[in-house]
Amino acid sequence: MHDKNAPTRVPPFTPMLFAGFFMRPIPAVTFKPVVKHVLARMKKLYPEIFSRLAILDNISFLIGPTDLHYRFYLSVREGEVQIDVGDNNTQGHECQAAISGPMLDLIKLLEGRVDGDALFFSRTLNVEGDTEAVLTLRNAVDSADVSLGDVLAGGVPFIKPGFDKLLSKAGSLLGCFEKDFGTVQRSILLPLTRQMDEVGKELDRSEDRLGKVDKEFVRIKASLKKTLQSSERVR
Amino acid sequence: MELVCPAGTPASLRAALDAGADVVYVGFRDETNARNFPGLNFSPEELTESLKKAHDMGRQVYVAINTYPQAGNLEPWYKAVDTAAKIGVDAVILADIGLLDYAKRQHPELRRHLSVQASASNPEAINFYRSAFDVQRVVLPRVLTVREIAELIGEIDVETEVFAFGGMCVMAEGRCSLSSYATGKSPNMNGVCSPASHVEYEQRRGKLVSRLGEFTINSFPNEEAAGYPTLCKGRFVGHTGNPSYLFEEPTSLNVMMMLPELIQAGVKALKIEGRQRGKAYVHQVVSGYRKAIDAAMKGDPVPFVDMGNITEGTRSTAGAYEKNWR
Repeated sequence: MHDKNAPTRVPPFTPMLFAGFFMRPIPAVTFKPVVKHVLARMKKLYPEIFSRLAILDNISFLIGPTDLHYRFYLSVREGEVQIDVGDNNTQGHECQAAISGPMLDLIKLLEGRVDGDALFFSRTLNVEGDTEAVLTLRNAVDSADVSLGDVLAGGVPFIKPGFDKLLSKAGSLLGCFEKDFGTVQRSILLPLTRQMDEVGKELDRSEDRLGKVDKEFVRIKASLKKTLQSSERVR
Repeated sequence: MELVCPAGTPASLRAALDAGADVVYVGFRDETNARNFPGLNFSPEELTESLKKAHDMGRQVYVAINTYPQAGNLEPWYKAVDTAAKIGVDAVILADIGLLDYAKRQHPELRRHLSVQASASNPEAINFYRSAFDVQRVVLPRVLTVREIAELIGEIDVETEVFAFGGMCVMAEGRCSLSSYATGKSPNMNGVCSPASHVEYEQRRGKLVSRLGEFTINSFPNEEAAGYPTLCKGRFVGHTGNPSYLFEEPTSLNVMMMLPELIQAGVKALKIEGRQRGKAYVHQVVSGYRKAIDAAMKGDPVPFVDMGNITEGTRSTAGAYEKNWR
């Protein structure tokens, strides 16, 4: 159903979109070992997630960052959860449900730092296909206190603080970049926004004028009808 | 003023406690509670562990068993009450009179609260529940003004709990049949309003189209904030030909700025809706309300806490509490 369905909306203007241009030559297969390692670590660290996913049967999710050309394929078959990574051109993954949004928001969702419904309300997150499966996945992931630092440290306690520090620095840096990208975007769009505001105001004025003309038309019509009725009676 | 907060998972419960909840309310993983969503809720083991954590911190846990038992299938509801009593929760939140009677007879020491699903909004009804089932608290439906709540409190001798934040239910709670009409499943009997199994989202010509069963609920142009796919918040085409909201626009309840009036009215507890929401929501709302309640109780001005990012449709309302449409 959702075979290789790339996100349909225009990608958001984010640091990841920019980074994606440079990552384009890197084939998706390069990330396969990392992604599989992350899933294996998560299974070990957060069994509660996978016990909640067990109610799903034969479901595949397409998880598509809207600002990167890579795609993640998560499947639950007979209680076993597996993951694969591909790109826009990857064939052969039949998915029943699709989740898409900016990469950083997907990571925040994984770590429970943002609320899925809030992302959906603000239209940052898009879901398609089997809604019940998507909800199960969201609730399952949110049931654990996932920390990417813990996951990446690979069970080696003494490197965990290093990873936490690195991720925290990367997070702050990306946060700053996000703000800067927002500023750049607003600055580029400012002339257009002003023009649109003017067009909007002109439309409002035209609507008012049309409303008045409409009322006048109704009044004239009623008056004409009255005149016609009077002349009918005179005849 | 007690702050009663939602949790759909043990992680959310921990988030609520860390953020300053006095009480966390939860449900079991079945149709005995009104948030029977896939992947959500507590197993008895998880509840036991979570209750210990809450008690260690000097807080409480209530269990919502607030759907109506099905004729000929009472066992899951009896079992839920028995399990809650065995685990030692601080109160059960019930709506059905048969179940209230069962809880009173089988577990007289277990504190009973009347769920909003019972829709008890007048002194006669509430006093009846008090005398017949010895309920200690009533959760009031979201249809009363603050003045009406104050008058009601003067005529009853049970504690009152009111909704302060979260999803709006504009229908007579416990009696709404819109979800049943569209999907055959209801919040009252199955614990699901607009069950996800019947919800479909589709991107169509630049719009997000939401469907429930055979009904198109809404169509959101890109950039317009979205809401839950419930019939009561659907946009329909009437005689004018323009789609508009018939019952209620997608919006969340937020009465934070009315806290001093609610305290003055004698309300005992404030409830945050949202067991289906993530722990980030729980943490943000509970932290905000903790700060606001603490300020209001000291007589200080209620601080402005921005909740815009987590509200449905990214908008909020004081709803019936101020009934400014009348």
